[in-house]
Amino acid sequence: MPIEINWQLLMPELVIALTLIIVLIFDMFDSISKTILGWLTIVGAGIALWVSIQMQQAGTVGTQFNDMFKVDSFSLFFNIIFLISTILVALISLSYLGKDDRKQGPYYLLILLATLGMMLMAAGNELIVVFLGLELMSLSLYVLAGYFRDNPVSSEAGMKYLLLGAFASAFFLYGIALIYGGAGTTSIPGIASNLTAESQSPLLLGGMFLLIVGFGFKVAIVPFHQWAPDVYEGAPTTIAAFISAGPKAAGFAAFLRIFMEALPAMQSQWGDVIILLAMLTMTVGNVIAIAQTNIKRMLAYSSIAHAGYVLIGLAAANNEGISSVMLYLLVYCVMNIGAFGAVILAKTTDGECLTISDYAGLGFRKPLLGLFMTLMLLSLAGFPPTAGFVGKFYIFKSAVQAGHTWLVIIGAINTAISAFYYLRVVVTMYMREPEEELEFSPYPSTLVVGLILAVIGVLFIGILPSLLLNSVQNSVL
Amino acid sequence: MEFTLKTFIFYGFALLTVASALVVVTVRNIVHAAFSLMVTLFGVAGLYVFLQADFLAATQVIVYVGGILVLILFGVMMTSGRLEMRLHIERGQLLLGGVISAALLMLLLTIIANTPKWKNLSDDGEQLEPTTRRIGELILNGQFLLPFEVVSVLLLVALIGAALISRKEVRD
Repeated sequence: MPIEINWQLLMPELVIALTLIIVLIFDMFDSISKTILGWLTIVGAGIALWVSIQMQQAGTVGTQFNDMFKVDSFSLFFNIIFLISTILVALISLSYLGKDDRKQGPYYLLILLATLGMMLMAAGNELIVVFLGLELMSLSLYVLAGYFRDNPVSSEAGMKYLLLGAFASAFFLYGIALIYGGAGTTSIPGIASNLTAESQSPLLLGGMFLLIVGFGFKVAIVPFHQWAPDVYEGAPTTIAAFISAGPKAAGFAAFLRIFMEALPAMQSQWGDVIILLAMLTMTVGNVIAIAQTNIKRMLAYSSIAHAGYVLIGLAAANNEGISSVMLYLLVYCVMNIGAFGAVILAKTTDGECLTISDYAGLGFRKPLLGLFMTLMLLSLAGFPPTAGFVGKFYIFKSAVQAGHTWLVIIGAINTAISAFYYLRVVVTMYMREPEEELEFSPYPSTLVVGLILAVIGVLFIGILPSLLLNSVQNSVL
Repeated sequence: MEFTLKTFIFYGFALLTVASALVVVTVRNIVHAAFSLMVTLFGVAGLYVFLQADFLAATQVIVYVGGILVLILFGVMMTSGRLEMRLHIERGQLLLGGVISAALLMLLLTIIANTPKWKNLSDDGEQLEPTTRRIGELILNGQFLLPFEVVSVLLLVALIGAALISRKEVRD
């Protein structure tokens, strides 16, 4: 029996797969300058992004491979998030990796493979495909986290991430097995149709909670967040930016698809758990972030707290909730990569400025860096007119509509707490005198371009959210 | 229950599996434990054959006995540097392991007791049909084509990652 494949539906994935094959082949020839590989990655991801936007605008819908792969506005919107993250990360990586030829090829290859995994997670209409996408993404990230092998901290980060991540994957897989036992299928629409209020077995309940644990690890939700600060601190800064952005969005994409499409009948069980996790995640993330002196660790705890805000939208479990989560994840990816990019920009001749006190006086001595950092941190804190404000606003609005007023109050208190530590960095930059004179390296132009793009994104969404909002609201499941 | 040659072999495999598993957890020499584990894994493969899962049985032998067990032995040789490493079992571990095993045993026995009807395949006159062909068809006729393809990419990542981590850093 011949298989009918509609190649047009698979275009974004095919472009990324083709790009990674080209990168793999080009890496083998010594005569080719390896810096071209980064640009190839950007061009490939750019084409895939363009295709995804076109398909999203056209409202393409369809399934492939016996219903296992589903293309709809939801998956295409997430593709856009992943590809924007990939492009930004590749841009800030160009100068970060230096001129060492041996370092370039596998780096970009693994980034592309992780991106492909994320796209599979968002489009997976079958738990097995979602799991394989998750593994594809995670395996690439483990290697990338430990990419600087001459640096023991980086190796430790990779090792830790691998061990805890493998553990989380096992939880996830066991959850799938139990759900298969309870529902008799691993197809997401199949589970939904087999699942009625009276058919709920303890197997399904157990499987559902194991899935929450697995996702909790991958997107760093408290109490499954312990790996995040160590990995972010040890991993190359560009990879910390990458891990904090796309994979988190991918985790939430699969989370949304599985819980909203396959398990809506069990919402009474998972709804309260999500609310509890949201409160815990926001509060723990923000409170611990205050105590951090290393800026990468601070950003790690801040990204944990942001996962908590996303959970508020998930707990709302209505159309506004889904669209606000999608908008928030897009905004979050851009501003978080921007913040890590600003950390990379603050590079002295001895290495990166990682202690917050190193930033004293930087605002006036390095105006461009000060401006980038301030904007990104204000956006992370959620000040208008930045994108962070728009994202938080719609998340809170959806929760109020769902009747979770208390959750919104806790979220607002947390926003206030987070403003404290974000603004502390800004205050340090502009109002404190440096303790010692640091020698700064000149700005790499590609990094500045990446940051300018992030700034444009943050301000554009912040000032004109309506342009994006329409597209998001049409993309709900 | 009539005692045919088939049941005789089945109980032989079952006994072999359980006895060698007991040796794995009680013996103090880690290499002996590893070799005993090999017998256990072979025994489980034999049980799969009785469940008419011939493909699974072959995979079990290739992956577990051929791959994972050799990996364990390599790991032992590379890390300890000597093969006579002794294992110590704490009393607390013994207690915890015993409780968990007992709970698992109870769970399995309950499930076995509550399963309404055991289907005896050989009684229905059904022929033992190789599953390999059916599995291959399911993968290649499109039903499981996507996971199959994705797994190949996943293996590529594992390969590249392993090569990247284990290769010697060349310094200039």
